[in-house]
Amino acid sequence: MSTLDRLAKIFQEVFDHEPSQFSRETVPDEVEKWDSIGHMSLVGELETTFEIEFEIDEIMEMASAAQILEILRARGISD
Amino acid sequence: MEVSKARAIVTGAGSGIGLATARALLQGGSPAVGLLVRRQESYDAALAELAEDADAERLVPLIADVRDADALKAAFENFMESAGKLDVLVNNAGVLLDGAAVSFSFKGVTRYPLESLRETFDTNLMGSFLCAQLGAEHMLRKRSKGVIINISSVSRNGRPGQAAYSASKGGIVSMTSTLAQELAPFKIRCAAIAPGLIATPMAERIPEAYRKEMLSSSAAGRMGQPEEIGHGVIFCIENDFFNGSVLELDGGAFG
Repeated sequence: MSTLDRLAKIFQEVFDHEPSQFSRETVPDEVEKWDSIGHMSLVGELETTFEIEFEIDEIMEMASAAQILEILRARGISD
Repeated sequence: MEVSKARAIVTGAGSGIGLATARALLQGGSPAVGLLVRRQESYDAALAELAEDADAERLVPLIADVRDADALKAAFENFMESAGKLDVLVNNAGVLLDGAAVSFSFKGVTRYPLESLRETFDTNLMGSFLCAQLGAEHMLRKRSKGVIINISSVSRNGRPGQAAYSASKGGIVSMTSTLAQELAPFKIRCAAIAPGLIATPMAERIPEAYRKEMLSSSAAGRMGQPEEIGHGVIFCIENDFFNGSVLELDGGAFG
């Protein structure tokens, strides 16, 4: 499973967001529950799934799926 | 206590649970129902709704902000002048101001605003305390074996984004238990009701996704109706053995 697909699965679990509606371009405005509260849940799920711990700056940079993928890539997690 | 003999004050009676409770009291034959609301327009709107199926002469307008101790004192005195006695107080007035206590996200660092924290605590908890204090005083003066009913919430056990609201509603339960013990020697009861998601103007402000999530963990699978909470209030009045406890009216919420 690609990192993008794993991310889509996380978005489905955390936000009930349809994987078919998910892409690298997905941003908070398109995901109803991706707000400041939901973001904390998302980060928790990302850390559990990928077994990493983000820096606070990284957490605040996650403003799109593409940025999350980029942060994961920088941490050595990519396809 | 028989509802037909219960002279009552309902706070936050302009809409939702408060309005439905006032209607239930009127339909039960309550001789006097004080509608305590913040603004005259709220009272006028409630009056228009209630006058359709009840004798409006039994309604007593009480205009006061539950955060204003002096205004509340005057409102309760007005009710006593008009009704002569107070048997039931329903502490329903409340606000719901959602937000994470603190969050790091793409929005930066967000903190729950101090002004929202104060408004939540002052309205939900302090307001209920002040009304209970006044209600108990007037019940004691007339030696009414009355009942104080506080509207808590299923959220009192905690829900993300509702730290302030949950704390205020949890505090209401602690206050209820304490008052029940303090007032027991005078045969005044105090009980709480913990509604789940109810179809009210307050619930309409909860984002749909969160409402769906709450409903998915409910056995009933639907929102409750304000009338169902009004029915719970009637139960609390009529059942003299119900005291110091919380009546859960959430359709079977397990989330």
